[in-house]
Amino acid sequence: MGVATASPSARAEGNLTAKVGAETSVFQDSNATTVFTPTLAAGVESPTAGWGVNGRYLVDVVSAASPDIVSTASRRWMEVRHAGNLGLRYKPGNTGFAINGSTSYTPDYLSFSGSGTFTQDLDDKNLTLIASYGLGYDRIGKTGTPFSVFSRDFVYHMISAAVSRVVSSSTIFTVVGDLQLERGDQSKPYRFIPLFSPQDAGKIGAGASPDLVSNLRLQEKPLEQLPLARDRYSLTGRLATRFSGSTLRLDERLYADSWNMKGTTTDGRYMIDLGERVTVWPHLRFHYQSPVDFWKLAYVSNGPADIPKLRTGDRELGQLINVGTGLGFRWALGSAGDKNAWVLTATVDGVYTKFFEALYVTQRLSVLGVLNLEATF
Amino acid sequence: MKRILLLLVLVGTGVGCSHVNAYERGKLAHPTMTPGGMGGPGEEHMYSVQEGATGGDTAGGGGCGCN
Repeated sequence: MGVATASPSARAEGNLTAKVGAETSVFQDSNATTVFTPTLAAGVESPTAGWGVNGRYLVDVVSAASPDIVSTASRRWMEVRHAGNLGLRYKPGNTGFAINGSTSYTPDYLSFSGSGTFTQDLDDKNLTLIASYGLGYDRIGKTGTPFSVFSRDFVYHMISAAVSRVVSSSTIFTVVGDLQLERGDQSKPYRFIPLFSPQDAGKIGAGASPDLVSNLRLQEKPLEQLPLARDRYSLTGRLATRFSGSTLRLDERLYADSWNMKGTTTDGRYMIDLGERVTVWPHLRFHYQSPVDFWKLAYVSNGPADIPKLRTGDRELGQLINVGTGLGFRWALGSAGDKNAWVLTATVDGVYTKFFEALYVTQRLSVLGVLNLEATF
Repeated sequence: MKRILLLLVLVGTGVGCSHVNAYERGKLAHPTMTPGGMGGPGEEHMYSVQEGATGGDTAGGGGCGCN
């Protein structure tokens, strides 16, 4: 569980509202990966004029010693990622525009992206149409090697359209369609793929140990190679309904892509008011995906001249199920006249993952704890 | 696909929906009724790494930035 602090110093002037937030999260999984993430966020907006600006900065401190790392006889590694974004929005009436820019940096990965969003309210704000386009550019490198010596460019286009409809005085339903077009080589430059003779491939079962893989694999050990283009589609339905003392949130996402992965994700929260200041909620999430069409538990080779053209060891490209459950807590700490001026939010989520056909591991347990404090002036 | 198109038409035209006036929106203005996803950046990042699927947010965001 993380700890967060905030020292707000903003001051309201006229009709301006300022928000300052601090969040800290800690992630740990059963594959010896730990991520510690402190985040700072701030924003200023004018509700009457319809404009707002906000920004966020976070640091990911990642420490890992997964079976993939152990299998290559590498040591536990640690890496720090810096990420930030800045957003501007203007919506004086029924029509609004927003732009957002973000960047992140690690010694071996540089990422930039920008997006623009158009919003139109119709039918006395009972219907809202949203369209957005984003462009991302990533530079993939290797730690210890300058980008000028080794790097790959990776470009992606993000196109989104959403329709949000007020169904009744207590229910909103939203449908979001997303298209993401990815171009470039996103293969991991550190990920070696073991190859096996046709005779030995059948001896490799799901969760095969690093020792067994090391004993049976062929001498050739090529790097991962993914297709150079991926088109990703998703359709999400989002229902929010408010009862007298509680709120139900349900999301369902259907996903497919040009690598022939198909997936479904269901996410639900039931938020219960405990008095005027405290809200608690259970959280459930289920995700299933089929493997990409070039996924193999054991790639077969008949010799150095017979390397599979496409190959991966990324378990998140294989068939898997995630089952997640969690608890959330929101405490409005402000004064009697402005309870939401200070809000403390804490969540704990655990996820069990079942990998159906992967080397080294067949399951994973992970826990994420988040503590967030936000002040509004 | 026909079912999806039918769903979009129903949502867009508001068939079966009530017309809600501004003064009737007390429940819709509750903090738990925000139109976006409920997960914070840390939670969204975790799911983006653990799931091969993507999408669902109404606006484009940055890449994972991890290797």
